[in-house]
Amino acid sequence: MAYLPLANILHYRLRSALSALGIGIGICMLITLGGLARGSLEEVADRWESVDADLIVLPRGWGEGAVDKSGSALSDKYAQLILQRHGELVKLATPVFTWPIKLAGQDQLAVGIDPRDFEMFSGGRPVKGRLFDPDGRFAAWLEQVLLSPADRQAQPLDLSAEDLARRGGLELVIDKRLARAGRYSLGQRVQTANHDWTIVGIVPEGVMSRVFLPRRTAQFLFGSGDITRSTLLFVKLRAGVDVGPAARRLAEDLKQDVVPLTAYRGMLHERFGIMYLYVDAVNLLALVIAFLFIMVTLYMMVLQRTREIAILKSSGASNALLVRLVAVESLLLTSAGLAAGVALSFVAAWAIHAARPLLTVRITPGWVATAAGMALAGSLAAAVFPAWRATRVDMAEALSYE
Amino acid sequence: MNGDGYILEARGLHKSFGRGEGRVHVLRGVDLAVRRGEFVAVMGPSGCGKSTLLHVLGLITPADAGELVIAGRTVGGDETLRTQLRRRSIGIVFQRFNLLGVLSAADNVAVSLRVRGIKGDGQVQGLMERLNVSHVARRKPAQMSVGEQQRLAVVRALAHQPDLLLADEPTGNLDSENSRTLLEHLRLANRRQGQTIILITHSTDAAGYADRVLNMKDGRIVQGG
Repeated sequence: MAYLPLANILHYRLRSALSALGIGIGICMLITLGGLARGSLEEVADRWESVDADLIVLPRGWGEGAVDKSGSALSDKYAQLILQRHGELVKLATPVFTWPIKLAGQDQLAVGIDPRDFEMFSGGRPVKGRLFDPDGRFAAWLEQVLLSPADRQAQPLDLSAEDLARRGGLELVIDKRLARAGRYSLGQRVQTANHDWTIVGIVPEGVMSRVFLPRRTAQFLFGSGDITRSTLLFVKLRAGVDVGPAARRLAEDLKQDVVPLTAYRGMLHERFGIMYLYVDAVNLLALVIAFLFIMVTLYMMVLQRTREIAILKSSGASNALLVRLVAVESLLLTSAGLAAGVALSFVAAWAIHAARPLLTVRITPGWVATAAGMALAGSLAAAVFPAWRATRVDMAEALSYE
Repeated sequence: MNGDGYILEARGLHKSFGRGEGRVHVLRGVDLAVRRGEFVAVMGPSGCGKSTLLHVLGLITPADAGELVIAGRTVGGDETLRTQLRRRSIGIVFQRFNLLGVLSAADNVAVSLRVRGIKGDGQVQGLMERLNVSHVARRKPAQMSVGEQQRLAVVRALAHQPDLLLADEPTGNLDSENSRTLLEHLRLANRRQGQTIILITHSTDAAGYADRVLNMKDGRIVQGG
């Protein structure tokens, strides 16, 4: 009997197309906004998980708040301490200084690292151009100026931007996606964080951060001249060491928070889960509006087709059959809307990526299936009232209008 | 009310519309009995209640009072039974055909059968050929002549081989040629297949095809019941 609803849909093409489009827009919003909210967070989580490390050492009490904290927080001495006391567990402990800077019109979490640790962050990805401070001279110079006993009297403010630039301190390595978004190229000078920087290297996307800079520069510029403290530490364990027990042991000894790297995704979700709530609420509203639209359409259809319904009833159509016919029509419209919505979502994702290359819209089969499930359930719910109305059609009255 | 050989028995059927002072008492105690295989015509002036009688007999609307037995089953307010009888035992030809405009001729018949839980259409093809509408099987009603539409309405009403065919002024919108053709088809169905037919008409010519003619006046059958 599906061909009767199908015939009706095809007969009233414009109305059907508008109904399907209404649903499609709702579905598109659901998939695109959901994909954008989740995609952006998951992309950050994926990048962090790409770091070749097992643990993150954070100042005690940061918890899930760590994901949006930056600046001076943890003494670099912890790196040495970890290696000295737990050398049998730990292969490498690397301090990292994070700070938000603006590039390509958007805040980026710049990561200050030592060039010798870059392998941990690049995952072996080749750098086009070169790494900053490749021979460590800049770091050595700054350490000498600020940390050696002979120069204790030197004030950080005595160091000019020119000093830093001349010695290779104001150099950046960015990822390819940021380069594409900001139309940056090798050797280009960019202005951010009140300094002029030179882009010396471009790495493929997927690395932990879109922007890397010398850790010493980050500490000096963004840590009020204190180059003894970083934001957090990445710890690489020796082969075969269990992450959980090692994390507990380090946390106990250091009196700091030590979390597995894989926990970062959960921390992100904890921190920004509220965003999902808002996005999901907007999505739900869009879907409800789409299905109110469908309900009105179906209701109008029932009102306009009372004669057709009466004919079916006069032929012995049961209420169950009438309900089924309305439900099938609703499902057919929704299926068309679903197809349109999924297609529109890919178009929207492409458009968003074209307009804002740093945003990530992830359209996953799971999310599409969720949208489809919600749409189909919604379409059945939207059909309930019109279907009930169809069963109440007075045959004698409807057929009298012949 | 359980006489053998009767497909339909009605006694004291009453039907009113409206309320209070605006209430119109249309059927005022209709008594009627129709045997299996009979071709009965119901005649009467406009407004005498012919169409209302057909709606009551076709279980489209319930009577307010009286007794109605169709195919040996007493029909009351039980909607399940009424639906079942409409599905299995009754076929109706409406004055203005009441075809489904969005479907082709063939699909109009097919839907009617599917509603009744019948899938086969071998019988339908022959019926469409006999009633000369097989050539418009793929056309929608709007693409068919009035005569073709009415003949298709007859095919639809007969396709499930109902015990009782009710026809409400089926020639009311047809020219004399189409009227004659349609009535001859009805008479053939009655003669050859023993199809019981109740024909509502105001035309004496149409009534002439029936075995028995009943006259209605002021909501009652006054002659021939």
